[in-house]
Amino acid sequence: MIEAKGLTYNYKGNVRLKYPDITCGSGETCLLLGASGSGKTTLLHMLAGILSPDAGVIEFDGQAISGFSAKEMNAFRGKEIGIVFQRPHFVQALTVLDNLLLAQRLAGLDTNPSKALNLLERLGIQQKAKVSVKALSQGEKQRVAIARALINEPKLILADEPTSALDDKNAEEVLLLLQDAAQQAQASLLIVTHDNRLTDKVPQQILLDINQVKSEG
Amino acid sequence: MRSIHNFFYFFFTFTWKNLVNRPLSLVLNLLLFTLGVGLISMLLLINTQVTEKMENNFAGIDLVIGAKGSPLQMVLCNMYHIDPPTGNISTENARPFLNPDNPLIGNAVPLSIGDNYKGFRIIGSEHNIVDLYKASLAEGRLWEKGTEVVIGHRVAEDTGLKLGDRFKSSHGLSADINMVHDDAADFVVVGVLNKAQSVIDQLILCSTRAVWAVHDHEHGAEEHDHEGHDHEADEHDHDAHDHDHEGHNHEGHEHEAEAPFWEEDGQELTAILVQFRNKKNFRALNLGRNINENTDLMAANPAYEVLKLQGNIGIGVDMMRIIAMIIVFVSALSVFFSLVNALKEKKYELALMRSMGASRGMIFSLIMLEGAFIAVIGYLLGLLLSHGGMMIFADMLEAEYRYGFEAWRFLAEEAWMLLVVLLIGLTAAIIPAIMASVSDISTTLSEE
Repeated sequence: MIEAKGLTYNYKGNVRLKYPDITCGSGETCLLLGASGSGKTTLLHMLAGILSPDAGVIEFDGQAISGFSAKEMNAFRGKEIGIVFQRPHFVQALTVLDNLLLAQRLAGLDTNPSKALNLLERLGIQQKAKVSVKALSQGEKQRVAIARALINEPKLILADEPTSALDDKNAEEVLLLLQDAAQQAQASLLIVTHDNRLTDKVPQQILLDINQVKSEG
Repeated sequence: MRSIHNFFYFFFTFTWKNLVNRPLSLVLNLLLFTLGVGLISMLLLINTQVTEKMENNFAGIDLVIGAKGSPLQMVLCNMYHIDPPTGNISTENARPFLNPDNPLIGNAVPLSIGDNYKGFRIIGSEHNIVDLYKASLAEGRLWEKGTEVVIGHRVAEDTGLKLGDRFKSSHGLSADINMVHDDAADFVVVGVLNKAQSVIDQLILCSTRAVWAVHDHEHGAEEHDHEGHDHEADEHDHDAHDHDHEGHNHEGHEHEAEAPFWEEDGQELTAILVQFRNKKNFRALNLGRNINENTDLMAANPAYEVLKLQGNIGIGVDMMRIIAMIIVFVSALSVFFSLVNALKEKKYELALMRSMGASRGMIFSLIMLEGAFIAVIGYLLGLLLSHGGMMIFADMLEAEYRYGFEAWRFLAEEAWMLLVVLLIGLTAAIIPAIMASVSDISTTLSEE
């Protein structure tokens, strides 16, 4: 379970972003909705420990992550958080399988190719394992990005606009894949989006109100 | 343990895959490093081995006395055997320096040069030449009779000559089947020398009189025509005396009874290698100048001539070294710019890796490792280039001068060069590595 309370972030020194409290339980899917400029990506980076909030607390299964050292935060992020970015990027020099194994290695875990292959099979792209990531279609890239986010069995899955570049069919498939993975791993799935196609399918929604963005000075 | 092994395996394979993902840049960087390292290494190899060859053949010789001409040529011809003689000197002129009673000269080694066997020079001399080069007999004995020869280690290896073998010499200093002295008596191998690591390894030694005999015979035989051939030892007049050892049987009478060769009038030598009795004696030190000013002979100080030669070669070597260093510097710049360029392409990848748990230190190390990889691979290819090139170069030198150069000998300086090259690679990578490790991953990841 992830909880964020009273988060604020000073953007470029003169814009203060103030966020609503967020709670997303294990195995649950939560949508973070908001228009462009409402600070969705900034929030996601704070929840991932990439950015530090100016105020507020982020707790992960009751443990505040704000007290972590940089080293602890790197290890925590690698093992416990899986991130799917809006546009799937990979290490271009590596194959699909190697990109997944890289995620294990960077998290300080031993590489486990059979686990990675099983995951690719679950996502229907096992035949692409040895293929360079440069040779993948957009839909395949998104699936590999999901596989990479899930490979270390994280307790929190953060997805930043995972469906915005996809057609309806692929968008629905990606959502189902993420929800399925989150439920199986009993992970909290937080999807940051302004994609209205997802709102009917995910009941638990948190609206980032643009009016909560206050300008100071 | 396995985990540590996996960790390093990951680092190395990841870095290698990243490098080969930009093949053009990799090839350019490697090419520059290879050229720079290869040139420096080859200069080191040549310089070291040429200097060693020069020093090994110094043999404590204080003065070379011969016919007037180029002093450097005289030294190269008579000490290193890589140049033709400047001319000949008469026994009358040479006599004072060959006389054992000369108060200034401790050891005088006469040389008579003019013939060869399969490109190996046949030198008429005395037994003291063996001591001069600190050589020793591997088998057989030293030459006594007119046509007996002792061969150097290299001669035995290359020609296959062994004790008891007979051969005919060829006129001049390079192998030429048309120049064989068909009418002269065969030379007979009576001794083989141990490897001495000096020029004596590639010489065929016989008595001075044996060389005279071959040329006496030649001059006596009208049908043997060497017209148009520049025979360095030919200029002397053999008709002026009647000295024929051919068919002369030395067995059964004492050699001691025979007058020393240098007492014969009208004969000629190529040069005399001189060691002073006392190297600090003022008169001995002035002997060379006196000879040059007051006689028809020329004296050359080998140390001075070799130093002058090394100085002249050194200018070329220094220029090459500067060019090689410029290439290494350019290769460092090339690595720097290609890593900076790669950062632009890879900044999202690196931010992604940070978001997956990679520390700043790991990102820094990965970029540094790329610089180190290029440097080390360039270094290894450079060594391959230099030693491979040296192999070809050594073959050419051997074919020309019969001096053996070792292509696959590695020098301590080359090991030090690895450290220097590694340092250059790491220095070239340090700024890109810092740039990569301090970049703001949130900003990068938010850009798209």
